[in-house]
Amino acid sequence: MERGRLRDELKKLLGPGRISFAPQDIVTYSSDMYPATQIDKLGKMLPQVSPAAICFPEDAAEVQLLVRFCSQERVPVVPCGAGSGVCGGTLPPEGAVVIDLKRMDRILRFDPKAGIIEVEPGIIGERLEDWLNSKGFTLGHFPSSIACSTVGGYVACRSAGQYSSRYGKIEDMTVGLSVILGDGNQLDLGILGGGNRRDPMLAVILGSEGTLGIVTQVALRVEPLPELVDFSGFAFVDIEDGIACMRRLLRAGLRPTVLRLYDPLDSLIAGMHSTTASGEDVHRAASKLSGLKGLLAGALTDLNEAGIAVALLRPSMLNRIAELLPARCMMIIGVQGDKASVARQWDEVRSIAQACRGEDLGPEPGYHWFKRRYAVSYKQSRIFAAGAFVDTLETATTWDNLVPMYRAVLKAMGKEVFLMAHFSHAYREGCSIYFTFAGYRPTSRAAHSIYKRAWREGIEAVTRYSGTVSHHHGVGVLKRWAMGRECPGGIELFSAFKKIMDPERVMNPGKVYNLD
Amino acid sequence: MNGTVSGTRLRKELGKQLPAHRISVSDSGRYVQVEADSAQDVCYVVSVASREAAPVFPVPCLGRIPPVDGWHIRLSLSRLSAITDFSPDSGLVCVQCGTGMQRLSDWLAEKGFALGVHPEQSCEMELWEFMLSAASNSFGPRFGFKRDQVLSLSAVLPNGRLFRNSVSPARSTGPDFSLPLLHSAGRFGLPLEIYLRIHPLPAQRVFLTFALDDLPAAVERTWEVASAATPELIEIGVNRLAPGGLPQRFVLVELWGEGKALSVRKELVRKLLGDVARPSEVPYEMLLAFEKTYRFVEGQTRHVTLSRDSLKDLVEGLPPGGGPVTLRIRGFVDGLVSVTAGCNDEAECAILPSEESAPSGSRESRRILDAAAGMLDGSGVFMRLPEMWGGRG
Repeated sequence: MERGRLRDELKKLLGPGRISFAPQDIVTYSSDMYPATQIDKLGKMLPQVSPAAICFPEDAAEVQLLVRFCSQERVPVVPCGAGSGVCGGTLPPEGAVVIDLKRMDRILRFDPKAGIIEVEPGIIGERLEDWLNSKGFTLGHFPSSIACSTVGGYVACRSAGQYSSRYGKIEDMTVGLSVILGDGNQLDLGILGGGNRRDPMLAVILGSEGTLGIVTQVALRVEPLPELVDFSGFAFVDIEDGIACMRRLLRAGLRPTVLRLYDPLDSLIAGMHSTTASGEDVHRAASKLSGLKGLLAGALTDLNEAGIAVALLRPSMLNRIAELLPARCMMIIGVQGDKASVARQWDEVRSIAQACRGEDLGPEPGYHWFKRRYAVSYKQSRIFAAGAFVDTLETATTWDNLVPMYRAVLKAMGKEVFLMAHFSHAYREGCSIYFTFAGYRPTSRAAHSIYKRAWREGIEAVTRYSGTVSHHHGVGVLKRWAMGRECPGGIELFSAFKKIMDPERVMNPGKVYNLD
Repeated sequence: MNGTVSGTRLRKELGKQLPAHRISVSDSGRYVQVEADSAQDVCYVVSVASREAAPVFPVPCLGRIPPVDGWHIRLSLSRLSAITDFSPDSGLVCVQCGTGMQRLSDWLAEKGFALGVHPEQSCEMELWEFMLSAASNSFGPRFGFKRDQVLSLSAVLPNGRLFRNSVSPARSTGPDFSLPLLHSAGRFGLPLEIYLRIHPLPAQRVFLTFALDDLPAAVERTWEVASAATPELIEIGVNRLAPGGLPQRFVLVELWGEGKALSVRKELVRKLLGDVARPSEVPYEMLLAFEKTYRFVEGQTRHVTLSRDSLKDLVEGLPPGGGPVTLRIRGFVDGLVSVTAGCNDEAECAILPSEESAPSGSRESRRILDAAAGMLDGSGVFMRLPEMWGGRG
């Protein structure tokens, strides 16, 4: 449909103030936090494609009107929450209608006895958590983007928070969904459809990233706030010991609130107090390394902006130097419950940590992490400000594959980018690894090239060890090419559901699976 | 489904890739039976079936192949019985679909591990049937339902293509299709290999048995026991034909662990059940041995998942001396139980709600699943698999 006519029709559907064609909005909604689009911006390139309109519906009925109209007119629809996704899941195709759900942010029903809350998808995670806390409850979902991400976004990409070892991922909390399908019909699932949380269609909508429909209501399981949450830090000689400790904690049936193991470099970058195995301060130890090595090591540990670009031009060398840093691996553990239960859990945790050669560093590193737990995403802007890029590859695999996969990814990506990792989101059977990587090239074209190569090398290493290509960030357009490895045959099932739920294929085209 | 393909043609097409000695034809039964030796064999058989619009039925133990107009393919999967990966560190075992559940259970026990569910006792059921049918279900509050035991799987889709998801404890890679696969009784595909969660056998296992007078009160109390003590197994049993000396209504509790923690849980169970149940001296195994007191009639054994409210209605509505001959109520996970009823005829089982009236999903959810399965399986290769266990085709 011609853009002008489309806009006229949309104006008829929604009242004034709920639709925008303003150039600044069109540009803003042309990208999300996908680093490839940030690289473009560094090169002063405007997005190549742009949506026709941004709509701000205020309830499910308005979403239904919009989707029905777009389906009839075969206009692509892109649902959008807070736009903090990093995989390009909300990048619109040319002429699309973006449906921003942030005005649908009401808390619809709270049943403390059943431990269920029903909300609209546009509510920001932090606001929901604050509201629940005021009633003595918690959702238990704490992504580092909590201040700038919505419940609808969590559901769309199967998000995970920092307390996932205790509360699970968002799919474990979701007990019902209402969805406006691509054909404009409403589908109520789980407890919102008169069923329960084992409704198999919940598993189809969760993670579908708006490709089958738009979630307009979410029913979530909530839990009473614990009496006490306590944190502590531990230091391990190497990654192997740290992972053994994590595995043993989980296999012993413990469900720590927080369980995070940092590799040596990430331990330093995270800014935690760290000593070498001999007790010397790591920063001092690093400065003793001679010549260039010492210089670069010093630049790294201080994350000096001026040094970033120069250092990132030589990622292989930088990664090798990082290996030489005599740091230990830090682990942050949190436990919760009543006073007696917390004491019992610490006894068990300390006993297992000790058996794995872990040194108890006391509460300071734990509370240091807690205070700065949402800060990491904001550090990334310093890297972009230096003209470089930064991104994260979050994967997961089984315990026996974890160390080999970690080493393989370091080796594979280390040729192109500088990287570090931490291990979090632990399960009985395995754990996630969160690689943070940074690269620099003087032109955006060259930067794109190494960015793409780094991802390819990383994903290939992950899939060699049967790991997943995404643990909690979703697929979007970034990892779409890898879905054939992640889930052979998945596209056949996706196509079958797509034909039933979105026959005109208007919903968020080209995300997750490429049907063209 | 056109039903016009001949046995000769099916044999010829299958013989293009499979050795003749693994293909046999029953002219009277109007089927071609194939012994599959690998996942590739299965994919090939299903792709031929899809092309020729011939229904495929794996050879079941508990279920029955329904009457079919025209020729069909019977697929024996018992040669696909390897344990392909065993990882004690990750608590996982990878098993091919034709592996007998009892054999798997015994093999794991030798290694010091157990599955999180009971294998079906009434026949040597293979893994694929165990997962697709409603049979057996839950070990209890600690380990969940049988579908909770699956970490990842591979399956053959109705067009013969292979489906597989990554071997990961969690993912964020689009919809999770393994749930529709396992919930649809095979209409979306047939599992070929499954990574199952396993659990170390404990230092000690404690078995508690109780006889019941007031069944509805005991059911309500069992929810509390499940939540407070998280027993590895908790089961309410009703056996109308229990021989003299055995209680007709009882609760079984199994606890794993050791030392003080185990004692604390044991006492908690006794305390919680104290005023609604009498401790019984009858051995656990004897109470569980339903088959010794009542022969289940295949096809008249009903399996249904019920919510807490539906279960309450069921037990309150049981007619004195009537209703199902046997009832096994397990699970007590997420407000749900799995009920297996043994009946002599439909009338005895009439009190049980159907899976349709007490569903996991809404009517609309089931409509979409049905439509998507139909879209995927245009040739009707797997559409009738649910009928093997009394479900809808």
